[in-house]
Parts: sequence; structure tokens; C-alpha cells
Amino acid sequence: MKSHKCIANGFILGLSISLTSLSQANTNDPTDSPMWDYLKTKYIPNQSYQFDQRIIVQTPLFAEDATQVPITIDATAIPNVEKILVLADISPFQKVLEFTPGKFTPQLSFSMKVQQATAVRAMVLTKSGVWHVGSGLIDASGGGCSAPSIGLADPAWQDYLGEIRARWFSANHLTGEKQRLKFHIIHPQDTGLADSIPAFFIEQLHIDNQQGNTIARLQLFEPVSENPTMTLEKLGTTETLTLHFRDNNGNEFTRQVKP
Amino acid sequence: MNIFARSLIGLTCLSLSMSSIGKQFDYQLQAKQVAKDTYVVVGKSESFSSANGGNIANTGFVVTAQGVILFDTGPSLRYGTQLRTLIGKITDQPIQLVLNSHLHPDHFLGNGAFSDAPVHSSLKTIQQLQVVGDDLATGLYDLVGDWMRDTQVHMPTPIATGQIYSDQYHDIELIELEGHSTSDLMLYDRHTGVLFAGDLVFFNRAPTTPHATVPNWMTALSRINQLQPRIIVPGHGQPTDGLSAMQQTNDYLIWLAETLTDSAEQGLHFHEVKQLQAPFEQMKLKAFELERSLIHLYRDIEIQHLY
Repeated sequence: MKSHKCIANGFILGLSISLTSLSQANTNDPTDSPMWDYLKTKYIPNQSYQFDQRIIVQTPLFAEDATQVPITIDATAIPNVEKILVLADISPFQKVLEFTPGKFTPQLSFSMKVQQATAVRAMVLTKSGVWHVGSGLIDASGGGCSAPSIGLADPAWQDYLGEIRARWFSANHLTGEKQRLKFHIIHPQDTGLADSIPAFFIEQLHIDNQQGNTIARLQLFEPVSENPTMTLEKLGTTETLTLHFRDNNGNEFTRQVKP
Repeated sequence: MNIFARSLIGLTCLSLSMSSIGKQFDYQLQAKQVAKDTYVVVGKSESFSSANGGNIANTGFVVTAQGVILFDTGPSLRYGTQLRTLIGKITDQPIQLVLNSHLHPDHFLGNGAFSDAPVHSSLKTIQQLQVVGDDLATGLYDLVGDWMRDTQVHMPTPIATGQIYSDQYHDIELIELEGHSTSDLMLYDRHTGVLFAGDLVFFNRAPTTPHATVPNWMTALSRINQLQPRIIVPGHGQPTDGLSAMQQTNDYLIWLAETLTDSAEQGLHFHEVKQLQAPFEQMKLKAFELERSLIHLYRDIEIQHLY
């Protein structure tokens, strides 16, 4: 019985290999991360995926500051993107953020915390239900996730909590043909791992147009850096939008951005 | 190399080479005379690595009739010990005074080799070392490894600025400025015209900014300009006649400040700005240090350009 099963498995394996090679799907992790098997089982169980070099994940040479590691993800080469799930392989919090670009293009820049050297993934789900995985590596001494926020050391931190700055940048020769929205919010983004400091971070952002329709969504998790700054891009014209943030304590912060 | 495998490989290399490596932690220090009684030990224009053992900054000393005045002690106990041996080959004079220019680990972690002499820095530097000294030392252990063996933070004690030594050959003054860090000590010999500028001046090696305030740094450089030293010993890079090293550092800081401001005004993000190239042909580590400087400085500038 046992040997039959092996043969059957071997057959199925052979079949799946030939199938994937037909569709040119690449399932070999380009980063050789020890956590990929765990990651795919946990976050995209039984779903089809392929590593895709068309997705650009930019990381710094080295995490000079483990609490602020700038990441830029560009999945504009992938058609029909539904959402982008950003994961860090080796981290106490693997989920970094989830971006549903809507009317924006599937690309974003932000900063994250890293606890140690890790691969970072841009898991791009297309409308056809296939995950395209882009990867990058961050080299780090680490400690970013267990460090307390810096802002909390200022007794007046609550006075600034939720302060939002934002600006549209019109397309220019440096940024390319898209309109760019950059925003910044003051929030400690505490992970809960620093001694006696509970988790306190922004969980949700939705961006609404003047008609009140949500045109993009972001779900944030613990690794998003303190006082996050984010850059999004959009084709067409700039327009008046409203940013709605909500943190895990139920605080809401809103700000209108005009062209 | 795969970053996940690196630590394992590091361990393997260590155990393989343990037996043969004993003689190899040799910084090959050489003293270069730049003026009467005045010597510089020039570090490599590199970033920290296990190949250079952290020997990337300059140290220097003046041999006076009262003893040796030493400016900075290098990145490790091994460096400090080898520096002391080198000084002993040049003079029989005892170590009279040891100075630490500022808080960065490539400049003071050799202090342990001079624990029988007075080791001084500014009060501000001491206050900072009390907070971050151990972390800086740990960071350097991570980067350069066994070169750091037995190195510990050996705290300096405070010293007043102003004239510290004078005879017919030397007229030595301590000057405290700020900009590269929140306290940058310089040693100036008015008689020989040699200025040990510490890390306020870099030459043909991109300046570093982990604790920098660029406008203050530029003010400090204008003070150096007023001194009109005959020779400047930078913190990193070759000693130079005249003001060219100071001028280059100033030009770089102007370029950096303008680049970051312009980039923020255009809405650029980190990975776009890091690709810009500083127009200094001879300068080493430009791309590397720009990327680090973006981490240190760009976020705040970026936010200032939002409404």
C-alpha cells in the first residue's frame, strides 16, 4: 500500500511540475528564506502562487535604523491587481500591511520595523485569484519591533497624536507620469513587545473621494514604523480626497487633501 | 551571500582560522609626520568591515617636552595597544594626555590601552557615551568581529576647552564645536598650524551623518576657515595642506542639504533619492553614505515639505 501511495504521490508531483512549467510559474523562492513554506501555508493556504520578478521590492543595503526601514513596492507590471499583502518572513509580526489600491496604482512606499535580517514579500493578488510574489531582502542588526516608540518619551505626545500632514505632488520629470500622494501621521505604532507598553497602532486607512466613495484601502499592522509616511500614486488628475485613519484603540483621525 | 546563512558561515570561518589568526589582528599602523613633533595615523577610506577591523578613522599625536598629547584612540583595544607601541617607537616620552574628539566608536574604543593616562573629552560627549556608548561598542563588535576582543567602553573625564599646552615649539588649544555630532572637539596647534579637526572634516571620503545637524556643521566649518590652519588633519582621509579638505566637506554638505530639500519638494521617496550621485569624483563611499544620510536626515525633511 505504502509504495503505491508513494508512486501515486510521485505521479501527482510529476504532473504538477509539468503543469507549472507549462504556465511558466516559478515556485522557487529566490531568497532561500527558511520561512517561505510556513508563510505560504499560513497566509495563502492551497492557493496558487508564483514568484514574479516583475514585482519590484526595493530595500536599503542595510537597516541603518531597524525601526525605520524604507520599502518601495511596485507591482504596476502586473495586470488587474486586487490587493498587495506585505509580509516579513522572520519577524514576531509577519503581516506588515495590506493595500487595496482601488483607483490608485499598485505601488507604494513606506517604512517598517525589522527585528532581524529577513526577506520581505509583496504578495500581489490578481482578480483572477493568483498570487504573484515579489521578494526583497533586508540585512539588519535588528531589534526594531521590540523597541519602544520614541515619541512616547515626550510627555506631550498625546497633544500631537493623529496629526496628519499630506500633499499632492503633480507628475514631474523625477516622479514620472503619475500624480503622487504623500502623507504622514503622528502615531507611536507601539507593537506591544516593549516592556509595559501596550500595542497601540493604526489598523485602518481608507481614502475617500468627494462623493464619499472609498477609492483605496490600507490595513496596517504592528511593523509599520512610528509616525508613518506613505507615498501612493495615481493616474489621471489630482483631486480632493479624505484620509480616514483608525487605530486599535478606536481613535479616528481624518484629514482632507486638496490638489 | 544569503543573509540567513551568513551568521553560520561566520562561525565556521572563525573556528577554522582560530589557530592561525593570532598574528593576524595587526592593523599595520604607520605614523606619518605632518609637522614638527606632529604625527598622523591615517585610517582606511572604507566602511567598517572584518577585513579592516574598524580602522577607518585617523588618530594623531603631538610629542611635547611634557609628554605625548594623543588625539583619538581608534576603534578597539587592539588598535589602542598597537597605537601605543607605535608611539613608543617614535618617542620615549610618556603619554601626557589622551583626547576623544566625539562619541563615535571608531574614535574612542582604543581608550582601554591608555587607562594609566588622563583620558578626556567634552562633558557633552561623556553624557552621550553614558547613554549610547555600550550600544555603539556592541554595534562595532557586530560589524568587525574578533578585532574587538576585550574592548570595553572606557569613559573619558571632562576637560575645559582653551589652551592646554604651550612652549617655544607648540601652542596647543582645544576647541569645541558641533555639527558632525552634538560635540566635536578639535586640537589646534597655533605654532605649527596643524588642526586636528576630528570628524568635522572628511577628505575624499563621504562624510557620515548619524548624529549630524547640517547647519551647525557648516557653521563649524566657517570657524575652521577663520582659524586658517596650515594643515588640516581630517577625521577620515589624508591630511591636507591648506583648507581644501574643509572646503570639500563644506561643498558636500551644501550638496547634501540642497539635494534632500529639492527631493522632498519634488515628492521623491527614499529609493529615488538614493540613486542621485554626489558630484565629487575623488570621494569614496558616496552612494553608501548617501543612503545612510537619507535614513538619518531625509524623513524629517520629507515631512517638512508636506502641509
